[in-house]
Amino acid sequence: MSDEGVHVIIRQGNGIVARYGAGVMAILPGGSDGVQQDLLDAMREACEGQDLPGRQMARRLVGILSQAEPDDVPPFGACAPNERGWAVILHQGVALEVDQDGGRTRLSGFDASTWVDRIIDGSFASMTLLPDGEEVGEVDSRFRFQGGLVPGSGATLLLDGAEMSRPTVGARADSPDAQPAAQPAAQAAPAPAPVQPAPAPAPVQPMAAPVQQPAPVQPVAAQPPAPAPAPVQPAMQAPTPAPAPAPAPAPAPVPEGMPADDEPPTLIQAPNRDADMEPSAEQQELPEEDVPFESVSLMDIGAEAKREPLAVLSAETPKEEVEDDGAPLVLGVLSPAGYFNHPDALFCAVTGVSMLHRTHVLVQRPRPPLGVVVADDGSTFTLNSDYVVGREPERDPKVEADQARPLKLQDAERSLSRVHAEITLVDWDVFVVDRGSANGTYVLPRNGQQWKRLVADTPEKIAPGTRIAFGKRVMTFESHHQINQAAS
Amino acid sequence: MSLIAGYQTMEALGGGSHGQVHKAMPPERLGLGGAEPVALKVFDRATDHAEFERVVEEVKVYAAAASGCEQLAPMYDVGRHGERLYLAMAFYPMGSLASRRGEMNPIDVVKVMADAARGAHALHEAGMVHREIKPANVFLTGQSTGVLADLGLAHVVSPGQTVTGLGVSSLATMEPGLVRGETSARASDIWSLGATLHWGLTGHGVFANLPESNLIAALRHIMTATPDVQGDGLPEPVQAILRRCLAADRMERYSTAQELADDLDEVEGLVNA
Repeated sequence: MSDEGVHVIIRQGNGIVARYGAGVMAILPGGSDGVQQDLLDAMREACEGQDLPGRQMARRLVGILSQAEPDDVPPFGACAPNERGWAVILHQGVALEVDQDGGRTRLSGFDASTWVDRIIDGSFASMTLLPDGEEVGEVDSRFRFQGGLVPGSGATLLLDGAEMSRPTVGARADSPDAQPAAQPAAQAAPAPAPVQPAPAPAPVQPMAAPVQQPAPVQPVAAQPPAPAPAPVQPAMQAPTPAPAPAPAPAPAPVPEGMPADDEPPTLIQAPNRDADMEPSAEQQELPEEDVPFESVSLMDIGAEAKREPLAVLSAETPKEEVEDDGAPLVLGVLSPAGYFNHPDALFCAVTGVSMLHRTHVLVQRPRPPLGVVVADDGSTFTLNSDYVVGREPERDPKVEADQARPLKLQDAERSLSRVHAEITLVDWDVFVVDRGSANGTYVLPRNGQQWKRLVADTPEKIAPGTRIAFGKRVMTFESHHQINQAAS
Repeated sequence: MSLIAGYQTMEALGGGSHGQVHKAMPPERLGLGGAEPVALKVFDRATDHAEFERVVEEVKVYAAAASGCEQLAPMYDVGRHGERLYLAMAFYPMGSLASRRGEMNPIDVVKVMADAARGAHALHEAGMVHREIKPANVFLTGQSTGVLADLGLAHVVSPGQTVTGLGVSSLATMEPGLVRGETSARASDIWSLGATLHWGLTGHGVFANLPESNLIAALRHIMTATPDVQGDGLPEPVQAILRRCLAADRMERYSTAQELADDLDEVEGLVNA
């Protein structure tokens, strides 16, 4: 693949679009300037003068993603050809729409909690990097971006000679049926930014104002007589009226990433976000009328049903009083405010204060929660207890003996066993144990490339960011404990 | 229109974090007179008997607190229709802080939140934490009066569960400590009261750049991020209240929701002074 064969059209917007050889990258506002520059440098070094830089590009970008502070990395997407097709990396709010074999597929950086690393096989008609949530719209193929850096929010790649099913303004104008006079340029508005003529790379332009410009806020008492305008369309209002999505099992999130024969998967594919949020029609409906019901009236409940008032906390309250008495005792260190933390904690897990200069005095206290596991339907469970995971975990002896909580996942496809696996906590560590399930339990560490099938009844220690697949249901372990890995 | 446990359901009022809420006419057995509609929440997920019994124990405490507090919305009835849990609560035609129509004076928002804080305090005194204080659960009863309604029940239905996954919007007002799985406390609700007040005044959450379209990223952000309310242009007395509600350390927040309500009552005088 030589870069002459790739026709790139800039998408207007706030951000940076870079092209080096056949490699194209779009960076949206966000993150730190330093990491932005690192990404651009890595892209240039990997792609410039290379015919098939895809693998090298992916490796360089993933290196930056895994080492930078998460908040420092801007949303970005990049693609470059490799031996098989095109390597794609997407992070956060950048999506990729591919027009291939007459169909369109869309990936989003939001499909994975870390990043999406994917290979688009073979050829394609068009491929567009764009902000998540936006439509590709019309592409004016009269424009052509040859290389360098320009402002923009994405780019469309056309393979020269490939048939594009998407309407392109340029193509229409070129066709014999076109009526140039009747189709004024205004129809193509907003026209993509004119690209600096090749071969001189476009100068780097300062990024335009960030997208998330805070809305002007009315001070409470600024205009006492006139009612200050309340937020008209508060950001949170939109989700409220939408039908609440039922906890529908995500359709087949794993097969691509999890071949039965443990072959290294080439992609890290999270469950499809749209599919997760799809309300299940069955559960949205109200129950049938003619089934029996039971009712407990609350009309005549008086003050006697109250419990004891909750404890009143103040700055003088000893932290021991808010610890979980039932939790097992573990060794750890105290933060400046007195909160109990992992022995190698970098920051206090409660207050966020740095722990670096604390004297390392180990004390034994009840273990705080170790983090959460988040299912693909969004239900979240706190890791302050062991769990038995499955379709019907309630009758497991450990649950009945109160040694573990049931974590019941619904699964219309029956890929889950009744008792599928366990999540267990040992000291400060989280383990997953397959309980001899029919379809297996797999783990994929953050930044990992390969799902690993667990051997039944053999505990596997997992680190934060690890995804766990129980049959076709996927959960992610996240933790607020920021630990100095080198020390531990 | 259909009949659930004797309730004639009318239009849907929207989705909550557990299921759909419908406007409904109550059955005669409640003795409500039959003229006023109620809000009937029907849970999405099937509930077994043990789960139902835990929910009943919890809402009984809520009902006891509400019986002596005007700032807590009455709860009338809890039950199970087939395997679907339902909960009947008072219906408020003026809607909630989240669904309010048109403009609202900021001072009125503060007064409504003072009422919500009084409601939360009554719950705390009755021994329970609301866990789901958010704009959609603060209902308007007048121009500057409100009630706190509903109750977070995810942890009751499934022990250990902190987020139902339904309604990412409620994450923006959920206390980070609860997201991390810490034991609930008065301070959890006090944080949510602050975040709800902030949302009511500014229309956005206390976390800048919360990736709302991605739940896992949003959770990870909330577990470790610190709210920032400085650049919102709110008057200093309001900012001071928000700082005391949203402190990372629970011990540095208001000790009780009543103290917060008292401070909110003073705001009008302070900002007009």
